Amino acid sequence: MKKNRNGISKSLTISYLAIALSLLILLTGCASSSNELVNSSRSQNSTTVKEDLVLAVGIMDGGQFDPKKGWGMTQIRLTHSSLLAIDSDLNFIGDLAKSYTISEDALTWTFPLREDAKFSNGEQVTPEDVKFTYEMLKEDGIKFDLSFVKSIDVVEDNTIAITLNEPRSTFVSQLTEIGIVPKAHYDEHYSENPIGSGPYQVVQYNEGQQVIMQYNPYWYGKEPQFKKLTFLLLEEDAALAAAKASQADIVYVPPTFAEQKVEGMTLRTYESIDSRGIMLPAVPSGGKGLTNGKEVEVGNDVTSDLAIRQALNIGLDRQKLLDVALDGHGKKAYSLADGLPWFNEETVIEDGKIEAATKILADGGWVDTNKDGIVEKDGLKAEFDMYFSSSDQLRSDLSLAAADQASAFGIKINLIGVTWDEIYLKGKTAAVAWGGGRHHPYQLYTMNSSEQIDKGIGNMSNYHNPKVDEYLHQALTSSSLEEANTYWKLAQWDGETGFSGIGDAPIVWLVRVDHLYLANEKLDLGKQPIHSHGHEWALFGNVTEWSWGK
Amino acid sequence: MAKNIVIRLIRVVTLLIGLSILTFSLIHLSPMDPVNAYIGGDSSASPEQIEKIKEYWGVDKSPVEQYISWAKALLQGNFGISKLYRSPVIDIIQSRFLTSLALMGTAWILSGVIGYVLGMTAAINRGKWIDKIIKWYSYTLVSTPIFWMGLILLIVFAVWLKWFPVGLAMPGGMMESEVRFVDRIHHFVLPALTLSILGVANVAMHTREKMIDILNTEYVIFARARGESKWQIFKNHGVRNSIIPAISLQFAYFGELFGGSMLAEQVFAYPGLGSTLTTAGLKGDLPLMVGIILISSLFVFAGNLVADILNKVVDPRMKGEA
Repeated sequence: MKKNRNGISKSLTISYLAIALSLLILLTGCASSSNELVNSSRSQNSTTVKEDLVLAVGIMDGGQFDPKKGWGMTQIRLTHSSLLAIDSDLNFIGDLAKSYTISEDALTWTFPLREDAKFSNGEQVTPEDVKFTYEMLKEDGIKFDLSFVKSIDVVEDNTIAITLNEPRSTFVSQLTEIGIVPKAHYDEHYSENPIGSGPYQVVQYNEGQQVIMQYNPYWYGKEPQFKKLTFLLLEEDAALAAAKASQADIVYVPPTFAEQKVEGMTLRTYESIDSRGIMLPAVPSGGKGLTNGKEVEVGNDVTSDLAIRQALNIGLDRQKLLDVALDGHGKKAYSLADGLPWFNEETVIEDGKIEAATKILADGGWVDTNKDGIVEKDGLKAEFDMYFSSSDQLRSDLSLAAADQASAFGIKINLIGVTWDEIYLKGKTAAVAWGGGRHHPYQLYTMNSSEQIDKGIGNMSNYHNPKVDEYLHQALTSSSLEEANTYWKLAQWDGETGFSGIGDAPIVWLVRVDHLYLANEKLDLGKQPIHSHGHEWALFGNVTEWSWGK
Repeated sequence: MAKNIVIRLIRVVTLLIGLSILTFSLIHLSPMDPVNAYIGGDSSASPEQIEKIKEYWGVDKSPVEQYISWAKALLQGNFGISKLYRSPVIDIIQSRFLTSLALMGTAWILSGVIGYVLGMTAAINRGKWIDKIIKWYSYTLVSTPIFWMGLILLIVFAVWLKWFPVGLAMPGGMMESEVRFVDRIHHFVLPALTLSILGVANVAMHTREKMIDILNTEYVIFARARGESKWQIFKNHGVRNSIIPAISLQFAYFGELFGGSMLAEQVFAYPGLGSTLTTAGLKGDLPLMVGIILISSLFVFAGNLVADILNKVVDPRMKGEA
């Protein structure tokens, strides 16, 4: 068919279409009275206390309110309660458990439960429910790794004791992430009618559309001001459109949308530990290994040279990367734990030092002899591939900017945008735009311990340092958090070695992403803790503190 | 006729078998790994646990074994269990298909009727300003990607004018029992409109060409000489001769309609079959994906079949041609 679109300006097309379409709508007779209905629910806040919120904070396909299907991390705060919780200063505090004690040998954790906890159907939360939940998840073993748990026992009437095979200081974080389900009502259809003991209960779930939650009258904590939360399950673009059409009170925005102005809404910026960096294979090429159970090739001759990794760490200018890739909406990152209690401050360096990077390279034997701009060592060029998820704008921008900067000190990075599936297959032979960041230090272990090589995707670098392994093991098996933190810090840098950027640098961490939301200017989101990886749900940890100003 | 139908039935069965084999092979060849998609990028799952997942889904078997066990189950009416939603594929398809069907059905009727009327009007008034406008309108629309059209409608009618919601199939925050029919219509208009608009252009331009051919035939010239008015010519000669290509075009349009529906659903976050297929594809949910592909190809096949049969019923000359 012939095509003719020359000479038609876009604005004319739009206005013409608008007229034609309104005619069509009149023909079909659909512009109905339901406008008022949508608008009325939005405008009632001026007279009464606003009790409902509409949020568009991302797609929620996974989890489906069932911990076995992956409902955990931060989002459980809405509908479920867990043994422990994290407050806005990142302290571990009691939730279902009034407190907790750890035995001398760090093997037995004891939790006296509160008496007033009830599920949203009015039934008491019993120690049997806790026991059932943990045993069920341990048995399933897919979403939560509880393989180190030996037994879960009810001691006395309202106290539960969990015995471990070996001490595990990071167990405390899992205690905050596992939502307790009712033994009497849990089966494979639990998702359809989830019953939890959190401040809200799911009253309606339209897959792919929305989740409606209502205040759980049996909730034992502080009564929230907002009695009803509606989550629209929209992608970023649609969420922004919803904000502009004033159909949502909070939407999440990627940094590229941060400059968008929406009337009546203000941009909320929250610091996060959601970090991005470059994962670099730490072993020479030629080996074989596993990624998520699949056999893959392992190693890279260039990135396995320590000088290359350290040069990148000191040579890349983190502030410029922030400006280019994030429009400045972020912070510099030197580790996976910046600013957290287990962060080793000594690893902070002055970066963007091209001369220092060149010197490290020269000391390591990398010099540009043939004047092509790329340094060589024994005939090998400092050139390697770097994979990034092509569907992730931020990671592709960051990769481009980093590759550009690295060329200034003679390292050539070839960028390849692919899907995550392909990254998992090829990632052990090349650099990868990496991400992570949690409210607990367990990822420090999974990403840097040699015990994690070939397990999951944690240690993609195949990084192995006996000294670091020792510190990590000590941190993991510490009986107190303070002691554990000491070892976490030593594992990063003990003055001689460590996995941080000034040490072995298997991952060169670059930036931390600010989490951005557009929220109604009257909405007060309380004191937010530093956010963790996983943009969408980090906001809800303190949902009961939210309020609506006049 | 009976023989024809038997041949068609054999054809559809082989088509479905071929399609399912093709889908299985393509998925097997792609780097997509359903295990990765399921456990996500940040799992602590150990190799033993991964083995357990593989066993649970049967992905540790060879693709041929997987296909055979899938086909066996299908012959007993079992489409399998969706990996993503962990519920029977057939249930998901059932609920989503109705939503999509309403969308596609409305768009189909609207675009057919409006397209036909526009095409007729243009042909009868050939060369006049109304013909030029319709032609220009159709050319513009035909060269417009459907998602772009959806976005324009979204910006104009949902964001600027606030007449319609930006997405979803029901009002946000409303309980299912309170949702009135008019609310559903309200959410339905923009996606349906997006889908209709593009179909209009196709039918309009084909009808226009066909009608111009008819107007140039000797019997129409003779009729005009006899003093028949435009309306009489249209009524006596135009409708019968031009409706056939319009109808077969409309039924053959089922495939495009389905593709368009996928994009429109994506733009408006409308929970139909198309958006489910996208999710299933991206997340490597093989049973759900194959299920939707089979159902949708049946749907497209049915469209073509109806087009053929109608042609034969309306036009006796086509009888006997295979």
